[in-house]
Amino acid sequence: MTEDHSELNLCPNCGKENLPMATRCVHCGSEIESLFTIFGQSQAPDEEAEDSLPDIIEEIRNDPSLQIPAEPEPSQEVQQEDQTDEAALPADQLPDWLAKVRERAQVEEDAIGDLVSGTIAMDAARSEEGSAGVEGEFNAWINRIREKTQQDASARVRQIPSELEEPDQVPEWLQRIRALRPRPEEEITHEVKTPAPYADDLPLEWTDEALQELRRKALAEDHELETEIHPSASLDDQEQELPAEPEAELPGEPVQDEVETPEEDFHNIPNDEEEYHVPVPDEDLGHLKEVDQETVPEQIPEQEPEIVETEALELWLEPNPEESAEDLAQPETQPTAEFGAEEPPAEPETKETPEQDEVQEAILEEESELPIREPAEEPDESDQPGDSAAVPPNLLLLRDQQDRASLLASLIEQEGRVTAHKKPTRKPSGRAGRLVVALMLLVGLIISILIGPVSIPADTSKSLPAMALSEQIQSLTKDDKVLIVLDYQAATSRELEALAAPVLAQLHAQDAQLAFVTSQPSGLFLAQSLLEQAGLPENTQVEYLPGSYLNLIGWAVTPAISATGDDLVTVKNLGYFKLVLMVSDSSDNIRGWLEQIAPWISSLKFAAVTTQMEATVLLPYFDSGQLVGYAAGSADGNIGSQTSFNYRAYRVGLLLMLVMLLLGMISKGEEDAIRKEEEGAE
Amino acid sequence: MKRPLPLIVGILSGLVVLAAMFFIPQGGGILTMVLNWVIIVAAAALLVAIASMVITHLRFIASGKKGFLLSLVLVISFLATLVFGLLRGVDDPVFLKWVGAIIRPIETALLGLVALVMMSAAMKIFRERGWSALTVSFGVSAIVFLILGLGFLQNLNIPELNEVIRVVEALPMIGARGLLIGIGIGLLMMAFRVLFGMEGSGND
Repeated sequence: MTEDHSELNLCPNCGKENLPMATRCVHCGSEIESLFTIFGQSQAPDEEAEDSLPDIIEEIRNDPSLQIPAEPEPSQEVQQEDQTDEAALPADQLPDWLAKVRERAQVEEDAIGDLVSGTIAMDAARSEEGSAGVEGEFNAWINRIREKTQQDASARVRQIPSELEEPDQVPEWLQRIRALRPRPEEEITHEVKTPAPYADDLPLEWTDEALQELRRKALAEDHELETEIHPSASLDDQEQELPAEPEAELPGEPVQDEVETPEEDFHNIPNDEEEYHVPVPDEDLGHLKEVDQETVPEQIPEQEPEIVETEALELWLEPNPEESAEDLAQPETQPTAEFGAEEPPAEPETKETPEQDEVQEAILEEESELPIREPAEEPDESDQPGDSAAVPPNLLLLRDQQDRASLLASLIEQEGRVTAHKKPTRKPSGRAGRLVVALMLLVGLIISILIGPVSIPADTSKSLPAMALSEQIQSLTKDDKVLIVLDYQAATSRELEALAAPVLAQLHAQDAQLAFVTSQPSGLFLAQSLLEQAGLPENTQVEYLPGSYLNLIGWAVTPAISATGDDLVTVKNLGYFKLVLMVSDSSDNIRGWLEQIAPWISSLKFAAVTTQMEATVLLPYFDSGQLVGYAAGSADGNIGSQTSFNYRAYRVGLLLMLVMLLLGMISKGEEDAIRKEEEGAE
Repeated sequence: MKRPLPLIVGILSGLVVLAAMFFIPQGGGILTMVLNWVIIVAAAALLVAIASMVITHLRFIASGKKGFLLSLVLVISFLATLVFGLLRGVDDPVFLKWVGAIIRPIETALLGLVALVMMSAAMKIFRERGWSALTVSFGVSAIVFLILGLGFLQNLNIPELNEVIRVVEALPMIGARGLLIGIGIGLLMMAFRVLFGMEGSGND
């Protein structure tokens, strides 16, 4: 068994031979990585393989294997080196055939032939074209990767503000606002004793009130700083007056000279806000003028107001070792500096170029869109420092900066927070209103009931059908047979019994023979109450008539014949009756009697006692004479004395219903008016 | 698809009753007999309905369905009334008074609730339906007749006003007459549909 050592692999660690299929060295145990390595591919772990895209691009860019050779054709030196390498082999080690080929090639000029040389030249040309195409595609790919990388980087930069909103990190705008406030270690003068509204001197949320408080603090502190350093100015204030418009008459040169000395490019506006870097218009300073007019005349010297302000500006802009570094980054200090620096003394603000007009108009429009400006601009006089005669220029900066900070804070607050959706205006359900209405109704009814029953006045006029019914009853004589049909439910028994009981009492008083039938099972026990109210004997028989009026059709069509005619109901003959009085709460049943029974017996008269709700349907039958009369409602029941019917409660109920109906109309009208008003407002 | 037998029975019954109505008194006996059949069948149907109701509520009780206590009350009340009526008879005054003392206040209270519901509906109809011819006419007519129902105007005893009130109170008769004419035409059309097999229980 022999081993081919030419196929053995050498261990990179110990250098000893291993079999080709071995993955680890049999001698030292180290991993033989060369077996699985691919030339040109990085052997970094996965974590390194997941490098960022720019790194990969950079690697590709710097990879010499992917570099485009500067000289596509091999140089002569390289060819010579190759030749020297080949020639370096000793001639005795070359095979015979190779030696013969070399000898022939040295003798013959074109050893490979014209055809082969042309083919080789064509392949070379094609390879150049192909390499150029591959190179172009590669460059395009690289460009796409670069663009994507730039987009990712820009997106990452955009996400930074949201990360800065973490509680432990301070956003840039907040740092700027904090820089406005002189810290205790930075203060030259004593600290103004103002109650700290917040535990850490900084609110968690920059509301309008917080910014206003901050500005007041800055006002007070700045003014104290000013008065401490310039006592002479305060002494002169008592003797001199401030001109009416100090800003308009503010000479620019002294300020310019002194302002430009500390910092030529002094401004605290960020680079990305250069577009907002415009001079403060005169209108914007109107409120300061008002303040000056109110407080300055007794404190500001009249002769040298510009000097005072210049000194104030100088002090404000004096490079403080700690504060200046932050103030330099503050926005809106430049406008005032430039306000004094850019305007020559010969050209006050009244002279404005068209460009300045446009800028001022733009600023005015911008300011009009800021909702927080109006309440925050003018602090209360009590909050103002008493000796704020010369309004320091930094006040302008503070106010303008406050607006910007407030706007920025509101924007950041809206971005960072989950926007609380506007709660939909809940439409009032009206349950309370309905409850009040129901209670009012119940209270009214209960009170009217508790007061006591009141009968209908005797002079109350009756309806025409009721008067006809009364006449029919009065026309009955002794022993006239009357069939009383009880066809009502317990729910309407109170109303119907109140109407029917007087009629029955009158019939009984006239000695009419009464026969009672009921088409409702409940009529058996309801009749007892009715008979009791009418004063009829308790043993009065009430027959149950199944099938209602359909059962009586046979009585009318094929009446039974009675020998005496006194059997009445038992004989089942309607021809004996002179009047049929229907006490019913259903107009349909009354209509059935009139349409199914009446045509068969022409001599039979029909009358009815019904509810007021059903009476309307009976009007045509009364008008046509099919009904000789009917009684319906409380007024028609005023035939006799009624003790069970509370007329007062009835009228109170009607009155309440009338009120409810009017309330419904009024509420609807009010709703329409409100909606129209809202539509008009929109 | 209509089944022929019920259709034929329905058509023949209608034709017989109609013919009997035209040929009185010869057809009176047939008419009375047919109407008695109708009453008997209706009474039997009522018994079937009562039995069905009791069985249904017994199932509710057995299965413990939600609200089975009400079913229990219904069944107990039904059985008590049935037993009491069978023992004492339907004409017994004590039985009738006992039943009436229960049913009368219950149904009266329900009718009172109907009045409250109608009042609430009258109040809400304008909010729900808005201003339309229907709602405005309803509101105006309701207000007018509520005022008339109070009786204040009638007690004034002004002849001219009483004449106006009489005319106004007669206005509902117009609507009622139109309603009755419509009902009559509808019943006639229905009768024709039944007689010609276009309507009735012949449907599957």
